[in-house]
Amino acid sequence: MRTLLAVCPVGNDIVYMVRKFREGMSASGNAPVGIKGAVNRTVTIGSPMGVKLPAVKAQMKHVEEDYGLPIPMDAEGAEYMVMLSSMEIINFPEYLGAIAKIMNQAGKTWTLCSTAFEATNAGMQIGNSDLAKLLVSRIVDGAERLKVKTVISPECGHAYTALRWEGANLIGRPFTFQVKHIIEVLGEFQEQGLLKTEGFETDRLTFHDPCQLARRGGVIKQQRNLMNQVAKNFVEMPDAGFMNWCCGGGGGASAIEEGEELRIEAFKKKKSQLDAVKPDRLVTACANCRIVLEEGLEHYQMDIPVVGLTEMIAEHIPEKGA
Amino acid sequence: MQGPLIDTLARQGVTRRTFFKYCATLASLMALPPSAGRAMAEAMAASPAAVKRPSVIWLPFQECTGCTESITRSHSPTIEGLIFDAISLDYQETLMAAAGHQAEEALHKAMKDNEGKYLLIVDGSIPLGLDGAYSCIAGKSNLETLKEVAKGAAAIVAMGSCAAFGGIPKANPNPTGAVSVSDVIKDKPIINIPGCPPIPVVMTGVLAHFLTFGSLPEMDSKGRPKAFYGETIHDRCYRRPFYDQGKFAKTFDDEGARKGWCLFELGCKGPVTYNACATVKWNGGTSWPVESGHGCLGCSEPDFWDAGGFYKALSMPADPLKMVSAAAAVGAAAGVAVSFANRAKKSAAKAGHETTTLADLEK
Amino acid sequence: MNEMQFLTWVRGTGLNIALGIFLLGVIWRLIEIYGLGRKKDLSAPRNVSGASGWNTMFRRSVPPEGMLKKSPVSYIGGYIFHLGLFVVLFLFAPHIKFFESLLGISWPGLPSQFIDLVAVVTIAAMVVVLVDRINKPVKRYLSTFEDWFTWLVTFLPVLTGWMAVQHLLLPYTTMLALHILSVEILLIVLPFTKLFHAFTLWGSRWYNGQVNGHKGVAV
Ligand code: SF4
Ligand code: SF4
Repeated sequence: MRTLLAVCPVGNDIVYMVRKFREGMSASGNAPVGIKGAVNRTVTIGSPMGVKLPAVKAQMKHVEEDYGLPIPMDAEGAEYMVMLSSMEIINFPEYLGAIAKIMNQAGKTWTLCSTAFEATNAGMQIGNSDLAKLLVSRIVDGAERLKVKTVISPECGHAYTALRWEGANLIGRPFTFQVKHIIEVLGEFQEQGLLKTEGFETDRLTFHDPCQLARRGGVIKQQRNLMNQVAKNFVEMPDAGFMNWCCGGGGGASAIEEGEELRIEAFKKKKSQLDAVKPDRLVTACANCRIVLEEGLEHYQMDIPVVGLTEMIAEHIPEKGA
Repeated sequence: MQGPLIDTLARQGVTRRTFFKYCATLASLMALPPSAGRAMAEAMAASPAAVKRPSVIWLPFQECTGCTESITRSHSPTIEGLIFDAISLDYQETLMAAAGHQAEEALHKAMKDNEGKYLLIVDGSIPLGLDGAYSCIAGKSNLETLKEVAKGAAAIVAMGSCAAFGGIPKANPNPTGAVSVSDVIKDKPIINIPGCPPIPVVMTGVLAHFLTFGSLPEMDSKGRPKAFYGETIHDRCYRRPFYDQGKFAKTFDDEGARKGWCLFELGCKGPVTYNACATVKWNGGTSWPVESGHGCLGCSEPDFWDAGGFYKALSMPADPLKMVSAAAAVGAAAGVAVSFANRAKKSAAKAGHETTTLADLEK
Repeated sequence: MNEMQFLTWVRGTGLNIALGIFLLGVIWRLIEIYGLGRKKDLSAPRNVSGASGWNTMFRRSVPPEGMLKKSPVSYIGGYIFHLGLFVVLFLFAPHIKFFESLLGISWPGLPSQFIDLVAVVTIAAMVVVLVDRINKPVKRYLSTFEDWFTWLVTFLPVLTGWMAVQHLLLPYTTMLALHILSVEILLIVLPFTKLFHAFTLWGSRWYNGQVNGHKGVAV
């Protein structure tokens, strides 16, 4: 899909075609079981992994204690409304802390939203626009209720696409707020000099471009500038940027169990890219990519830890008062 | 070697040597070994006392006499014409002195005397319409005559495109129902010498072959002697280099025409015409149609008259494309209609859309 | 029917029918496809220079970085046979004459020996591309009847045209008639198969580039 979208000489829009197909499949009850479950949980509970507000609140408390920074919720009029993905709430709590540090340093007001903390859109994954619309509307309602200027999509590829590019079309009117990926926001802060870091990572790092962010979202330069701000030894893998290869979980392959074989097979491509640069660690900006990459690395017994870019930046933000 | 033919030739100022050379050329034209040239010369020059000259009956049907003219009426006596001295031309309306009943008698006598041995030459097509009434001789339709005379013939030569393929009489809409000899006669060896008219030397060659070997030369799938119809005009055309370079005359008197460029765009049918014009030329090797500045008409091919127009390049449509604008209109109408239908379908689908719910996923 | 009548038929009635169906199909499908229209994209655009429909229309003619090395056969073979088809179709004098008779405009052609060479190269490239499609498991898996069929109807005109000029196998007249017939089959098939990309290519590229350009992605 990656290649077709970017190189098809006759201009076929494969993504759109697959989307149409899914639309019918899902409405006729033929979607994969795993995704159906995720949709069900997102619609009824609020998150594909079944995370409820109390769990988020518990996380918030945890982070507040760890970082000594307030985590605002439902703060009306804040400039930024920060979205999370379940993955981050459960697996990568550092993300929330990182946001707190970064926002604090930049002096920006921000908030979480109690009625719309979940950024992922299982409705879009399953390919059903009615359900996708339902989920997007929650975020739109939340953002408009809190009168925020910008909604920040977390490090999650499809969540970004769902909100940034599909959202307005799903609800049938333009948004009254902006939608930005956290990497875009960090990029802006960097440009405005609001992102001050100290120290450098010294090991060999490389960056995996999430498809939805780079090829499908147009965010390519920012992550590189950010990497260079905190890393001394950042190397690009072959085909980096616009033409970077999929982690193996794209197009929903990460969301279904049946996709494992495919993911492992597709990962070979990533493996060859990694073998070409032999990094010590792999940085990316999508929780989903991260999980798939870790799975592949483990399968091929490659000892390369995967880190999120936002966290890595946050680690270099000087402690308050320091 | 002595004989009446050689004497006649001598009287006409043609030496023996020239005659031999002619026969050798003829043999080589027909891709026969040099010895065949000698054999031909001997067969033709043989004295009538020694060898009985083979009887030839020439039947003219729906024709214009162009073929006879081509072979017999040259501005100076040709060897081609003189070959008739080597045969016993027992019936040829145009050439024979006899007429009416006398002529008919000569015909029937020749048929009887040479039963199974005579050579039948036909020029002109045979009309089948109105029971053949379009062309009759001595009260008999050409069809009847042909059938009757063909019965006792050793072989038949269909002389000219009309006899060979139906020719101009058969051109659309073929009012007389003209057909070729081979359409009527199925049980005799027939050789076609098409051309409108055919090249004299081709005729002579075939006659010489028959005289010498008693058989017809090797033929192609259209019954034409391979030796003369083996290659296309285009293959042997001296303007071919211009064709290959893409240099074409666009009109009959433009720069290109004056420079002798290829006549393809002016409708030359040389590429699809099998004949010997380009090598043998006409009028004793003086020139030939393409050399004189006109494209080949394809006269030695069946239905050349109806092959899409003499002045239309071969790669151009043969007929005006009548359907095209109608098709375009129908296409446009269909496109618009389908577009409306699609739009209607789309809005109907939108109106009838039931919001998918979680329950639907489990259907 | 003798070969001259066959030739005259394909130059006349046959061509009439084929061009009729071709035009009908092309106009119909173009109107239908573009008549569908596109919804306006309501998401806020990200403007980046170089990312637009027009850009993509041209950019897609050049292999993206790295792709040439990844599938050399598809790219090089594909280029050669497409360009070859173009040269043979539009720059061979008899073809130009044909277009002139249809459209009333003409342009200079190339020497026939050169066209001949191009035809041979085109035939070779098409065979290579076909063999590649057969040999590569993924390509073979993705191929349907239509893929093999469209290859064939594209290949035959080139082959028969070249064979006619070279006097191979059959008399020129018959080969020429077969050549024109094969072109007529191609004309009839084109609007209703994937060969229609000859027409939709630019529009789809533009659309694809526009959709992605909206996102600030220069595809
Ligand atoms: S003039 Fe006619 S026969 Fe001669 S090269 Fe041109 S097309 Fe061929
Ligand atoms: S050039 Fe063509 S049309 Fe003219 S006499 Fe020869 S074969 Fe017939």
